[in-house]
Amino acid sequence: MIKLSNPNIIKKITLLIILLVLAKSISLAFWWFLPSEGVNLQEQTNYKPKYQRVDFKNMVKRANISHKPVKEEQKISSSGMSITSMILKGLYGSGSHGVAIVASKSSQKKTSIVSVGEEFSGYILKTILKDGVVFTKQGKQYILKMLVNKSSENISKSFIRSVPHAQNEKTVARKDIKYYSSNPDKIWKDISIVQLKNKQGFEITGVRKDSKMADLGLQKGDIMIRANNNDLKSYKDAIDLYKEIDKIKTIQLVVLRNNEEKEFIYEIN
Amino acid sequence: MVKLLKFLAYIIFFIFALIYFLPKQSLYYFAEQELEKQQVIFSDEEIIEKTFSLQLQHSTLSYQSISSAEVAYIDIKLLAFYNVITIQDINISSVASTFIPLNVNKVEVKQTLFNPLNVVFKAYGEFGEAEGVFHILDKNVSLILKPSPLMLKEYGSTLRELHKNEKGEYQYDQTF
Repeated sequence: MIKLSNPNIIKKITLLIILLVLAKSISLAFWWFLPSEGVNLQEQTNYKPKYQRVDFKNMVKRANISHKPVKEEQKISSSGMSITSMILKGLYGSGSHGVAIVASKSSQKKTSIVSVGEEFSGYILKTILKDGVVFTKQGKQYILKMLVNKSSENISKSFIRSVPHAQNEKTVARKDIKYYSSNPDKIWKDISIVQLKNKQGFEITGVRKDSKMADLGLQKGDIMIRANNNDLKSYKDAIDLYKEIDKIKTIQLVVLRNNEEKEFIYEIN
Repeated sequence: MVKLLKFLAYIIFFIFALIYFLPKQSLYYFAEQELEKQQVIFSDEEIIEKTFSLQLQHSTLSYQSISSAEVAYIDIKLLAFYNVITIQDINISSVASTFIPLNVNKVEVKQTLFNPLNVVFKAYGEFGEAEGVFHILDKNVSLILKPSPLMLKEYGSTLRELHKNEKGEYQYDQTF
């Protein structure tokens, strides 16, 4: 009788097949649990409008005309909320020019912009102070102060925005921009910047005296939070601006200085 | 002895069979998800599954959502006892042009059974040549750079960040 197979070989082949099946089973288990799609970079579209310079004082004047400011003598309805129920979330301007952003404590997200002379819940906005506003009602004055976070390191959600003075508007030569864009290492010799740990902006940790950067009006301790309507929350935001620098005609830079927002306008010629 | 050799042969057979059957693309997607947590993303790559390796072609490397480099070719070979990742033709984003030369020809990252606790890497390009080791247990990386004339001439500020040793090589050490 002829022996059809060698049992030793069959044993080995069986073992190899078992190993193959085991390997396949493990790979199927991997396949079941592993993701079927990769990760791709999602380019965020910039929904924010391009930065355009607007004369804010004109805006306020137009707003006054359209809203017809309430005269002090005018009888005010007494149905409005109490001054203690109001919070002041933001300011723009000073004295008799500017606006205040106010809300009720019960619905803080619902804010109203009130120009000087306009009425909010029975109170007329009289004056913009440095850190608050004066409302009047029935001949009495009420001061509403800003909510300011005690910790200077944390950026308060409330902010005080100062009117851009002439000293904050500067002209920058295009050749200076080109000098820095073609020699970026020179930037870091003239200014040092670090990203805040909470990623709410970039802090200026040093500005070399008599440098072009010092001429821009920036100071050590300033926190750059916004440029041309774009929040500076990541290196990407900063690099996106840097990439566009040759095409930009005006740079609006908002910095936090002593917990107050300060706006710098740089016209590039 | 023969039994031991047989056992080793079966083990090697099993490892090769497992690597052959493993869904390498899905494993790569898993690695991508882990890298994303470190804000490292490979995009637009063409993935090619080979018998025992995975190749990626024409990928864009982004860090913190910033497009940082274009990578022409990556070959990933993970064979348990011999693991090597070869990266060729890297074009770094012009944003970094002030810090380093932008073209890197080849980077090789290797870990083998004979040196399991260290990941060795080598790279060369316009910047010169670099060799380094990542000590897995110590979580320490040590890099030695032999700069090219271009690097010495144009990128002195970057070299100043490195420590110059007695041999005149530039050294970088970092513990994580």
